[in-house]
Amino acid sequence: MKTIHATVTSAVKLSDKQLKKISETIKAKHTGAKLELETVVDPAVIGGIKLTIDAVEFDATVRGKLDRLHDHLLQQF
Amino acid sequence: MKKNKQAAAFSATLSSMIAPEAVSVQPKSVGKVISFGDGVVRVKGLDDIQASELVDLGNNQYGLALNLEKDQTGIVALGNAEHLKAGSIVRRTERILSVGVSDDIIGRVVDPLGRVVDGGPAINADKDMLLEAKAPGIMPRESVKQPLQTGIKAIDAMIPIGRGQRELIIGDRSTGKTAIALGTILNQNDQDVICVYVSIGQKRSSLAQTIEILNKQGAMDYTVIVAANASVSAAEQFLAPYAGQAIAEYFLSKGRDVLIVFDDLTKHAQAYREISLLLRRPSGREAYPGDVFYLHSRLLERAVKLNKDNGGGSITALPIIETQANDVSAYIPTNVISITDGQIYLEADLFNAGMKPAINVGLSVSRVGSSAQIKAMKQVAGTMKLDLAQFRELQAFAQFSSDLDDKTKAQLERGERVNAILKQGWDEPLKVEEQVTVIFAAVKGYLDGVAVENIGTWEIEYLEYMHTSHNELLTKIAKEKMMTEEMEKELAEAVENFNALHPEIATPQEA
Amino acid sequence: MDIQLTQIIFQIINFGVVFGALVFLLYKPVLKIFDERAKRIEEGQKAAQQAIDAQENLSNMAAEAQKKLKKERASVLEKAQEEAKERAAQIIADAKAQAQEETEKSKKAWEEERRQLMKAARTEMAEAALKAAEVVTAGILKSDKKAQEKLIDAELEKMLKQI
Repeated sequence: MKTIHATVTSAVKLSDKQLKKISETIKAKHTGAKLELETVVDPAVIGGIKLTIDAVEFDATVRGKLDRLHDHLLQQF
Repeated sequence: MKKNKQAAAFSATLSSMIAPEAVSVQPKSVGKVISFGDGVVRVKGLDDIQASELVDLGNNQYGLALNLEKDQTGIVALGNAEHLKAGSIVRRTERILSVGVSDDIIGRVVDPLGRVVDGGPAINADKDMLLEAKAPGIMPRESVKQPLQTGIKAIDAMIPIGRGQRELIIGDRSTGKTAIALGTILNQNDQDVICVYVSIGQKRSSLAQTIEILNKQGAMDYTVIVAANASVSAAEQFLAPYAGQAIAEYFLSKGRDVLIVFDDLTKHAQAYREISLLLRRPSGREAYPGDVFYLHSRLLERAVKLNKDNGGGSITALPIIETQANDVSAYIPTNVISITDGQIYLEADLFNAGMKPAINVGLSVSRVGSSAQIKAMKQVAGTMKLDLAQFRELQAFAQFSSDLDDKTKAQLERGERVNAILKQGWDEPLKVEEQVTVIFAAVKGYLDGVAVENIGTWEIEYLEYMHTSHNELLTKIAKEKMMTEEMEKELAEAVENFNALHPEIATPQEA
Repeated sequence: MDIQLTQIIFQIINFGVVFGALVFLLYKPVLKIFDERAKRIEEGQKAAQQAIDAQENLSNMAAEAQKKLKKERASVLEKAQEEAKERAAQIIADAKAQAQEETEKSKKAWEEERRQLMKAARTEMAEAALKAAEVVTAGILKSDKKAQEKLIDAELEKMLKQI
């Protein structure tokens, strides 16, 4: 049985409803696998949420968006 | 009012620059550091990383993904990456290792990643050249025909190097290998050749001295230096020759002739061995990894002479290998000898006996040979190699019998003088027309009346005389690249005149 | 008287013999010596004369040589002056060319510096704008809990669609 390690990072603690939504979507995508969901509260990300599933990361935090914007603008110059 | 308008304009410009894709959320491949030691980062994740891809280690440091295994990736850090801990996140950059090059790079000292280390402004990259590029195929190539003048008589006369050739400089430590390479670079000041000097694992003090010499002689106007000294990580030393080659290829694509010196590939192989052992790759002979031949062959195959349809440029490579106790049958020397188009073999015995450059003409070879010589040089030096070989045989014979017939004695004396004329200071390159006149005097017997110890002075005064009294003959030889019969006669007269004018160092001889 | 006559005759003969002998042995050699001496004196005089002539000749030659030297010196001086003038003109021309090169180089350097400054100014502006955005957003999200929740929900929706 495959185990999926996932980490959720946010600036404030997430509600149980939100956590449930996340774990259900992941389980639906990877049927028959066990899910280990870890939650991290990190005020440095300012807002939004970052989800890392195994080796893939979805960064929707304010910090992440600001950083991407920064790189993008510098490239333009 | 004005401030508001300015602010509005500012935000308008900014928002036009911000494409919505810049902030949208895309899935990014990440990895978690499992272990980090000795410059090797083992990372779990990074499933779709490519080989030799740059990895962002955070903190503006990068690494090279070299080992792609099923459940982990071996990444070699380029730099110290002290901020990494077990559990740190590293990301793909989706960029294969490349160096930014433009015409501004000439005269600069850069590291293997293209960053400047000589304290000047950063280089505005015109083009990003891949470090691991494929060598040109068979059809774009052309045979090597143009000479690359090293300015060293022994090489240009008997082991000529052509543009587009790979010629190995091999010898023990302190035999003058770097000196030959530097002398060649110094001689390119009017040859329209761009030089790239790659320093791998050398002392910083030696490199500083080299840069000073090049600056003093004005050679930095056409030279680029890639520096990966002994104190940088093995990964940077491993990448340095490829970075130098990438820079050379930028100029090759513009149709220029480039000379690249790798000093030296022995340390390069050792750096690669260090990385491979730390990555736990299986080791072979002398603990080198199995692909150490491919390490050098793919580097040296990129030295080419392109035909006119592909720009007509060329890259000439002068790799340097250091042997231990003259052992040319060790692993790395044999590898590189079989890759290159010939070798210049330097011996410590000759060096200690006062023969500088300490080139062993018998064992040195240039597989391109006389097609890379101008006709004038071919005319005078055609039989020199053979004559010197015969002289060496006779030398051994003469040590046993003291009673020689006149003919043998004459051959011995001639051979001694031709041998002595090959001595040269490393920073005193001679133009090809000067070499032709000096060798002409030697092989036609005009030196027979000069004592062997005086040949050095004879040469200096002779060249001075030729420059003041017969400068047109020199320029004629340089322009037409060959000697007609009347030019030969004129030259013979000039030498005789010189000998007559300087009885204190030469007794006039008949040809 | 007879004896006196023979004696006189003998005396005369004796005297003649002695005289002849003297002439032969003394007179002639003495004359020869005188002749030789006269000859030597003549030769000496001739030699002296020759020496005087030679000296005159030499002083003539010296005077001529000096004249030639002066002429040569004058011509060499002329040539040197001309060459010096040429050289000076060349140096001035070179210096002018170099000065022009320098101005061009400094112009290029100044343009390069300008470009760098513009680039630096633009990057600074962008950084400042981003920092401002960061501070503002952080402020809003910290104070307004609802805003944070709405943000998380919105992002979650978008993200879960992508998974």
